Amino acid sequence: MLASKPPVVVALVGLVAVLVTVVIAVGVGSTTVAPLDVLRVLADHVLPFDVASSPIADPIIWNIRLPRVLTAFAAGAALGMGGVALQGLFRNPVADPQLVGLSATSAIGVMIGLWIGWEAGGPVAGILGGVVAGILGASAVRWIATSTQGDPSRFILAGIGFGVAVSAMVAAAAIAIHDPRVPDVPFWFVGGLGASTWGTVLWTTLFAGASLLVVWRFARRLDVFSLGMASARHLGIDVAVVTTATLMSVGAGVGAAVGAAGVIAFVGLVAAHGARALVGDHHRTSLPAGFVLGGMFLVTADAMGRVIGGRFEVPVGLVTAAIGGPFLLWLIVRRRLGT
Amino acid sequence: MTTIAAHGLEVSLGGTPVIAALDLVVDPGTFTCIVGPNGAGKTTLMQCLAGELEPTAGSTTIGGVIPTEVSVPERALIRAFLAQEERPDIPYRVIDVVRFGTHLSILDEEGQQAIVDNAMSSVEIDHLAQRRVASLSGGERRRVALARTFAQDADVLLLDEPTESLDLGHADTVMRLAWQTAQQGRTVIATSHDLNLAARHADRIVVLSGGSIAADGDPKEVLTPALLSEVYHCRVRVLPHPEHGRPVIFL
Repeated sequence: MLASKPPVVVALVGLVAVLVTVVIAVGVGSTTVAPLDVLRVLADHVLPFDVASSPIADPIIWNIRLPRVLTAFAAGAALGMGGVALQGLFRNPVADPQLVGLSATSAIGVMIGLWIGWEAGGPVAGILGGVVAGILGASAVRWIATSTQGDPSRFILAGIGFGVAVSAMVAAAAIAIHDPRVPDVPFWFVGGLGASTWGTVLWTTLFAGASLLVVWRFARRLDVFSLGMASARHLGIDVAVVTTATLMSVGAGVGAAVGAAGVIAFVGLVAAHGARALVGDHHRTSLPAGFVLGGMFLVTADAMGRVIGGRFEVPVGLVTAAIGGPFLLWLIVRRRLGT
Repeated sequence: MTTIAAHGLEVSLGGTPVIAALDLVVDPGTFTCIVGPNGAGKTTLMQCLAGELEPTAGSTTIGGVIPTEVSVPERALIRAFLAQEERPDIPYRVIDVVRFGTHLSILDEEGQQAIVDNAMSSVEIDHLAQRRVASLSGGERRRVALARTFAQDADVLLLDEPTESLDLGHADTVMRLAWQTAQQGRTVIATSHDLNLAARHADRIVVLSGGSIAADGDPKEVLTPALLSEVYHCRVRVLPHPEHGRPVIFL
């Protein structure tokens, strides 16, 4: 476990892992580019002097693959950090932005944003719409949590039901509208990163990063939430303030992620458990770890979808579901057996 | 040095009166035990004193401050409250959970650590420091919660059933610790179903019955066979302890 290592070592390990993942992911797809060639293209654009790079690989990497991979990283990071925060907030090991219905509420805003703002902002309009709806959706999640009175199973079941119903309505609206500005049905269930641009990289990163920074400020208080809401309040934690601020911040990050990548399940669930296994339960470390792992998970899932499907890529959400679905099942069975 | 008080306190829960016209003033430097049968209103009274429950009428004060009228962090700075229910599935180590008690502290890291160490040693959980709370027994978890409450370092300690799940030796240790803490000038109030422990350690006993105070004062004066038999609806006998002379209660 990395928890016992100095923070600098943990950060370096994370940075190297991210760089390796990104470079490999940028290189794979219908046209394979060797990691060294990927690095040459990146160096050519980043460094102040000329680096000999392939003129064929350059536009593929710089204009298509890199924005896509970085958008995937930022979206996955927001979902991964969101998973850690939601699991801490609700003391529920199977909480995930999609499973509690937050992604679905964000999808409403993404659709509205794309529909009315496409001319002005292109795909970025969807991200901004998603952020607004994600923040508003936080209150829906809070209502579900309150209504299910802290029962973890009922909370998740209600979230799934609510999320599927809203996603279905959004998809139905997409069919009814039949507008080139609004993505097709798969985007609202299994996501898609094909429309990524440098604009989506910038805005998704901005909201994912801001979401992490705000929630991280509540890290120690989220640790105390493990005692239960009543005990946390007895210890002087304003439960309503922490819950609202955390949910709204997670909502903003998830909204941006849905705007950039569509509705993708299980990223938060897998990243949160991975983060805690690697760096321990303290939110001071598990929130950034979930951020990094979520990003790497979505980048890897997207790359796998491109490799497996060849010219007809497998939607990223199918890959995350293929991994996250059995993982969720394992978690539930393990808990029921009390191990 | 903080006085805690209830004035004309009335509480109804779901339309049922639980506390009726109750007045109580507890001065600093005393350890007061609230006893009484199930449903007497002990926990409700503690929640009101702690500012966790808004009374139907009347008020409670801590050092002149009405606890329900200050912010949640301010409330936690003026009183530490140990409630009855604690979650058993806490994923952290014992030392982490005790440290939660210091999260509002203005002391530096060293000062906070000293308080945490002292709190853990006072309830004899030093050897459990690195264990996960989820792996502990009910009694050990109760002592962790107590240490966390002491680590808040507040002037007023409100302990609802602090000896719940504890064995005889640790229950005695905890009640003695409550008395010692009061001797340092703090105000300590605990509820208990163990009349013998209360009689042995408390400076003052308040007997609650049906939401009202049935008796209040020195343990020797309050814990009489007649009163206890009436309040608990069974025949209770009381004898002086052969060594310290405090009441020993048995059936």
